[in-house]
Amino acid sequence: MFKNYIKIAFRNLLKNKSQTVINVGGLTLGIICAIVIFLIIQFDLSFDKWHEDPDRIYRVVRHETEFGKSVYYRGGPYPLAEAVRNDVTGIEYSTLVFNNLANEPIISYYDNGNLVKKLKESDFAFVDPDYFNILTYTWLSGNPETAIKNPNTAVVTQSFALKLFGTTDVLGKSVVFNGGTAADIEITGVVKDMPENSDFPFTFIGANSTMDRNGETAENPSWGSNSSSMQTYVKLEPGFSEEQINEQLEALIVKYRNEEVAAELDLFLQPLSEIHFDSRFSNYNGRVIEKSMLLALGIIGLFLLIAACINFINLNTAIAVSRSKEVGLRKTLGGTKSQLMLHFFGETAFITLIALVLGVGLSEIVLQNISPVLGFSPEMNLLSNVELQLFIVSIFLLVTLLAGWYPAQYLSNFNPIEAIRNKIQSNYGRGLTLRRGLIVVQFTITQVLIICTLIMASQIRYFQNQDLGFEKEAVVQVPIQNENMPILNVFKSSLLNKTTIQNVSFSNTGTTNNSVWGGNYIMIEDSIRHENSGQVKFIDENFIDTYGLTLLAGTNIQPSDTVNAYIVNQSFAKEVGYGDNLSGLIGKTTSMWGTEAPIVGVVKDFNTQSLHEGLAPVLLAPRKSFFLSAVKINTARTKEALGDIERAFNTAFPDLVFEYSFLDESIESMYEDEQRTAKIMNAFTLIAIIIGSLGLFGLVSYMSTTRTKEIGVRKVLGANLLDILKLFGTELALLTGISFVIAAPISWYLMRNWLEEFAYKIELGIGIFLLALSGILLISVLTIGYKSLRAALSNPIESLKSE
Amino acid sequence: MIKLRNIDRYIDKRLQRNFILKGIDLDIEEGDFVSIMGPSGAGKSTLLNIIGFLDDANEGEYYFLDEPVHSLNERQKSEYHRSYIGFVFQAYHLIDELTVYENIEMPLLYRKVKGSQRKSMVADMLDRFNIVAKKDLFPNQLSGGQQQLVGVARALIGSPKLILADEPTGNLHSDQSKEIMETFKKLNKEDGVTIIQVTHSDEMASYGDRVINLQDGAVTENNPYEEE
Repeated sequence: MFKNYIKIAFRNLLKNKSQTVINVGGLTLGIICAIVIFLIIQFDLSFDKWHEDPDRIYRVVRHETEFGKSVYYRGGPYPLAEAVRNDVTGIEYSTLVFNNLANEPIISYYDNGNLVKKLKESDFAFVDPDYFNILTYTWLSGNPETAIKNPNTAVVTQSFALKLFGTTDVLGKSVVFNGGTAADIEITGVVKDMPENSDFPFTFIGANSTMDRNGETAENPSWGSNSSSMQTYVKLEPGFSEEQINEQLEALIVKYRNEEVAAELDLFLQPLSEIHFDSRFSNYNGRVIEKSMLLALGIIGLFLLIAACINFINLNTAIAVSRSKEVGLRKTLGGTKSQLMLHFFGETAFITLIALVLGVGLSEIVLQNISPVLGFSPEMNLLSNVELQLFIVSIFLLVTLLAGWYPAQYLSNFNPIEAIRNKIQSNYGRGLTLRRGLIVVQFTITQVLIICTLIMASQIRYFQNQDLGFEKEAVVQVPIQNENMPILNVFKSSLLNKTTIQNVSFSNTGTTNNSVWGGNYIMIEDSIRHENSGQVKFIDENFIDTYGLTLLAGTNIQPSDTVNAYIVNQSFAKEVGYGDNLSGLIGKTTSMWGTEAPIVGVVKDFNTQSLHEGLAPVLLAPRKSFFLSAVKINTARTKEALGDIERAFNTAFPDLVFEYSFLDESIESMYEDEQRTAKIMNAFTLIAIIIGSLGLFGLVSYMSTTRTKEIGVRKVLGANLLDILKLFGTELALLTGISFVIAAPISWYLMRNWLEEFAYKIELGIGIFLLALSGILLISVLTIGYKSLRAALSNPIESLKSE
Repeated sequence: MIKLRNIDRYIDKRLQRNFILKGIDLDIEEGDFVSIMGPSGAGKSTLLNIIGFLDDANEGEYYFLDEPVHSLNERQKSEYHRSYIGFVFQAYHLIDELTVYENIEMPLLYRKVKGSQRKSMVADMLDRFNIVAKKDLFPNQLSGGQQQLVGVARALIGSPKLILADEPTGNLHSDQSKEIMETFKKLNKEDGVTIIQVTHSDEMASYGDRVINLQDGAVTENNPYEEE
């Protein structure tokens, strides 16, 4: 019996080739999206799940109230980890993880007694021995209990060992870790690399005591100083709750600081399972994804699958008419309704199966090429991924049921007599038929995606064209780690000698940086005390010229090793009441980090962070705290200029590794997340459009064949080309209009929430919505244009002859 | 075998009721070969459909083998339908996507006959109608008469007690028509299959042993059992 179903299904597929392609093609696209999205979600949900007792692992995070604002930080004070270990009951293990990303260290190794400069390594951490009792590593060599008990020891990963030494047999070898650790560090263990779905991608894990002994943490020894580069991780003893620990953490603040501080500062536990998803805190992987984003992704996947099913339903009910004879016959030959339903379900299942096989195969190809867009690469592992297998089976059942139920029901309900006599007409009647409803659903999905994509694109373009208050073109930024002024000056003057270089400036963070230095500024005038949080930039006298800042009042700073003057920005002036009287601010004194100095100039506001953030008061001051050099080059000779910079750098800093980036590119990279989202959305929108167009094309080509006779009669009776085109077009325009009315408010709501994240955002004007509407109309017209035009141009004699 | 009592079939239009069949009383015994005749629109096909369980009467009673059809449910009707009735159509109505062999086999599939048994039954039928050589052809590769032979074979494969034929020879030329009617006659005489056919042709009607004339939805003449 079933064999018979499959046989006839297969012959039907071959007979209606174009419909088969549309059905299978649309379903395949939908299935690819569903599988890829499933794997992305599965990947993100799997982060750090495999550690032993993951539900007992936590990070200690910090919440502060600053000038009435709630702020969350992932870092804490340096002594916290040890205090937690000693003073809090219920803690099994506790470790500090020190990882200062501001200056990437250079790791060198000995080759026959000679030191070889080798590589920059940002994935490093210095930790307490308990670290390896909290997170689970697979040890290839070394003893987990004792590996980093002593100072000047480190555990490295397999890939690190291979990269540096070309072998994993590296126990006892020594490396030099620049950045304050004079002594050689001995490798005492090799572990397997963390898998890609971990937020702890460290490749070099050193003993924290190394840092102690070398005084690296000497500048942050106190409870009063917090840094995101000092995080505390703990593992609770079984049976202790988060609340029990949080209470004791609060008591710690009182014990080591005072009641006053405790009132504004909370320390609390963040579960390991939240580290990948809580966007209030960053992680070492650099990618935090809110669970709501994953949900949104899942919904998009489901909608694309539904859109593909809708094609299937619409096309199959339309074709049903031409199969009515078969249905009638089968009924007169003794087929019951349930047998017929089973038959049609069988056909749907068969098509779904084909689409599924294609979809799974193509997903594998998509996955192999998707990582540049995603930034990570989920894997399929079809044979071992049980969840995926279950998912594929559920797709099969869901699609078969969604796409098959209605056509099966519809077809098997035919009255056999009418069916045999071909009296069943395509129910192309008036009113809200199911088919029209489904098309509206499909168009709505497509339009929501189109509108969202357009809004994202214009927001990103807005970012790119926004005046940042400085010139971002032709500036090359080179990280430097040297505070020796004579050497810096040699570097600077050797650059300024070159005709390719226009200007050179040193500063802590440049104009715009993810790393923000800040504190509270205090300005007292006529016994009114202005105090608020502000940002500070340590600059040299070339900073304003190199970055093209605009000096609105006063003068530039003079060269100086210590803070002896401040330049402030407009926002600062506004906050202290001089918004309209910038020159009045010149000569007033203010202080930051305890250093009081006169204000000598005011610059136009410039964006110090990505445009997610608004403007802030900024103080610029001379001080030799330089981590970044900015070189303004002659753009006509970019290549030559880069060569000059590299040569000058290598001469001045033989121990450092030369790296550079263009300012405009590093600013661009601040919107990587948005661009990634936009790219993914582009892809989904394109797929939604393709699925929708396929369905429309199938329907129109079917309509044009079934209505050939009607068109012939109409033409004989005097209808012109336009009248015939109207026949096809009016309804489509109406359906597009209805779905637009539904889609516009939905996407407006969604995108308003998305735009909330940005301090600088576009207005949601009507223009973008109209653009989307005309876009989908154009696509529809192109889709149905050919078929309906051909139908309208056909010779009526041809179409009427057959009768 | 078939007993119709006061059968009405009508369609309600807005203000009036259009009768297709009105007050039909009819008895047909097992082994009869009946021809239903009458002008277009007389209700011949409707009557045939009602007898074949494809359509329901609005009023009246229908007993098939003494079973009240008017009170059977869908499943029971389907059961009778499968076991006792075979259809032959004017336009053959073979399924285009299936071969001759598969078309003939189809009723057996709905009856869940076992594979090996199915094979021998279909082979028998192909043999009987001399179409063994054509078993792997598709309907559009056959002539009209050959297609109708397949149609008859398909109707017979379930060994029905009753064959309903709606103008079985309407699309055929005379030689082919004769062949089909001879087949019917043989079935009727040798196997005792009851046959009811709708036809316009007196020649075709002459193969049967009883004629029922329909006029405007009513039986007008020649119903010998009524007279007795």
